[in-house]
Amino acid sequence: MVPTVAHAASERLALVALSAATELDKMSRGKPASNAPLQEFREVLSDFPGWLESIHTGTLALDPISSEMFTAAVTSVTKKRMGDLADLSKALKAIIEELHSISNEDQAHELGMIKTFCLAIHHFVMKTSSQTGLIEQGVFYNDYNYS
Amino acid sequence: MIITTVDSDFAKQKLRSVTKLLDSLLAGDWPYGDAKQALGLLRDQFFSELQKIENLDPEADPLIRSAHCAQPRHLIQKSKGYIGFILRSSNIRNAFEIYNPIKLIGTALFGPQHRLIVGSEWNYSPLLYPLPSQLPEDYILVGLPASEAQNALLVPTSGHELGHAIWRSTDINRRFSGLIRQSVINTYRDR
Repeated sequence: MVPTVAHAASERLALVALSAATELDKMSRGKPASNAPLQEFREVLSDFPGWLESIHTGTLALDPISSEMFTAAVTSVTKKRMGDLADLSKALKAIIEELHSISNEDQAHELGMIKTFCLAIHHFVMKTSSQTGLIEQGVFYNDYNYS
Repeated sequence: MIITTVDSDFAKQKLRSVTKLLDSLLAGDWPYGDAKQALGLLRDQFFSELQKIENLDPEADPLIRSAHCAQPRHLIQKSKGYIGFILRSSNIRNAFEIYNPIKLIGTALFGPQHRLIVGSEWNYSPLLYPLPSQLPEDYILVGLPASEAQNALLVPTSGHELGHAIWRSTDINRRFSGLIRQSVINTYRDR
């Protein structure tokens, strides 16, 4: 049943990531923006199954789809290829620290970096579960096997 | 007219259509409240997505606008199977008389806050639906084969499906899988 849980968590993460990106976009253009979606994104990211406890030790523990998702999101920000999980842990840690320290007064560059990260997460979830339908089909087939 | 504007118009058009459809379904008769409530929750999410697009800043980054247009398409794609299932749960071909006994067992297992939807399936196999992210975690969606609607054994089968919900909502899998695996290995080794 793990894929179902991970998939549902990704869906939720994608939704709050888009809300956070929308507010970051407003901030970067000097418009009034709400901090609540950003805070929610931080919280959902922190609660993402099985990774926060491992990110600080450099031994990132993620299921394959989530690992792909975070790799795509980090690569969209850093423009660097992630060689292994240690690279991904390090880059994610840096982005999460930036995310926690972000404020309306930040420069457009910092805000843009987190916005890109948020949009990449949203884009990945849309791409993998909507256009191809493969993930959803996989979950259903998994449950038929258990019925 | 730029592409994101057209995209935005199409997304709003789709959301209005779905919301209208769900409003008409909600106006119909429903045998029990849990199914109607689930449909109402889905309807509210579509309406919320529509409001998000309508309230988007006209100067927003085209990538943001484009992502907001992709979101409802994704939501419709994800929800249509569940909307169909929820609607089928109100069909008179369902064995409504088994709903309350299953609901009572569900209340004993999961507490009074759980929500149960029992619908018909055309797969010759009862199943517990994976919970969609659009619904709260206290929902349990059980599909039963329509071809067996008159079979009394659907009642114990439903109990079996509730067992899957326990499996999903607790850490039983993690607690017992290792023990079972080790016991099987030990049994083989002892022979």
